[in-house]
Amino acid sequence: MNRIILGTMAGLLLFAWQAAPGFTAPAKNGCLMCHTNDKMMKMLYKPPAVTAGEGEG
Amino acid sequence: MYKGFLVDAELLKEDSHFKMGCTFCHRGNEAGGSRDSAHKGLVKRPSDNPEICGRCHAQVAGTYGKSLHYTTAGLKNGIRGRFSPAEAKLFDEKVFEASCRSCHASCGDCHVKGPPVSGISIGLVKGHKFVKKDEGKTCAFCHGGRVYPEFTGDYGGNPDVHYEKGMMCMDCHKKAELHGDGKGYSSKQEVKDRPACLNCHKIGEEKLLTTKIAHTTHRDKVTCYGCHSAAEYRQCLSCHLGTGASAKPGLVLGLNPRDKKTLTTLRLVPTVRDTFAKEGIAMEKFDALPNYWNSPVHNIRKRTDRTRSCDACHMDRSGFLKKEMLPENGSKANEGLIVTPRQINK
Repeated sequence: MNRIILGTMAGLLLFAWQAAPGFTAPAKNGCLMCHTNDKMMKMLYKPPAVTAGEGEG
Repeated sequence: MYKGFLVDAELLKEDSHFKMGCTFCHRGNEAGGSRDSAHKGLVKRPSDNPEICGRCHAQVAGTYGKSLHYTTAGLKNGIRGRFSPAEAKLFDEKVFEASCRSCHASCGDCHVKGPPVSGISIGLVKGHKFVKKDEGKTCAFCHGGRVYPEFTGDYGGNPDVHYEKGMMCMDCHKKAELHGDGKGYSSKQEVKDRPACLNCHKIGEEKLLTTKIAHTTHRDKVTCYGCHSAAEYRQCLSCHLGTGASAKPGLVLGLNPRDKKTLTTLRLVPTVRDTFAKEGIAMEKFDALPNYWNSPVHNIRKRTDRTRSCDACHMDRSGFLKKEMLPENGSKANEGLIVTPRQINK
């Protein structure tokens, strides 16, 4: 019986240890789905209209 | 360039700034299912408001709001002397906020993404990493018209000796100078802790007697730049004086317009009589200030023509501002900067 309890506790501990980074890492956010994707950003990017202006020295 | 918006995914693990999520600074909607809904309420440049960074970096953000990089007060006050009171008011309303003030640097302009100049930016300094400094990408982009390429020699002249020795902008321009000290200065001339050659190069510690004599003799009469500027540097007329202006560098020596007694390197500034004519500002007091201003040039060398021989100044008078060099229809105050060095008997 003790072996079963110990085994279950060890299993739970192992699960908790492996799952821990998932709890502490930031949740998946929608911004990063596009803003870390090179191809996606290349496709979505619109070049700005460049107007003449002052430069600094 | 799209890479200006591409975040390096590896940073998400190592840079603590990302732990708070994008919307902590940028607002918008992380859960938005489309581009439009995700970007609703988005703040493109969150650190335009230093209080955003101030939530974690309270001390720096507190002083930065009054620093010259943020207020750009130097630009406003530098030209003020040419205006009547009514013109100054018009300038503040019509020109300064719309034009000069747009050059202010936010925290992010130096630490995250190069600032836009005329709509162009170098993009993210390093994949949205919050960098401490990267002068070649940040300082150089705003100050790349003259100072930075002068310093590196990219302009075609000699590189500055400090650059050759491995120094960069922030080796002289310290963090405290850039972040401000909490006082609202009206110009960099008022900042006591700004870089000074004598901070490192002490008078009296020279190895050669001739150098010691030269320094003692010229102290308080000539600035360090006056002798140690290596060569011609960029004059603003090269780009700014409009149709027909010729592009040429120049080494110009004359009296410092701020004290009228020290010989120093001068640079022609691009303000002409009709610079603000479109805004209805005639500059009633245009002649109160000269077109040349003292310039801390960034092309320093230990040995130059003027350090090698007294004749360069005292016989040949090379580089000295002369009446025939003055810009056409320029300020009447220009003539007050002309100085003729005393001829010495050998």
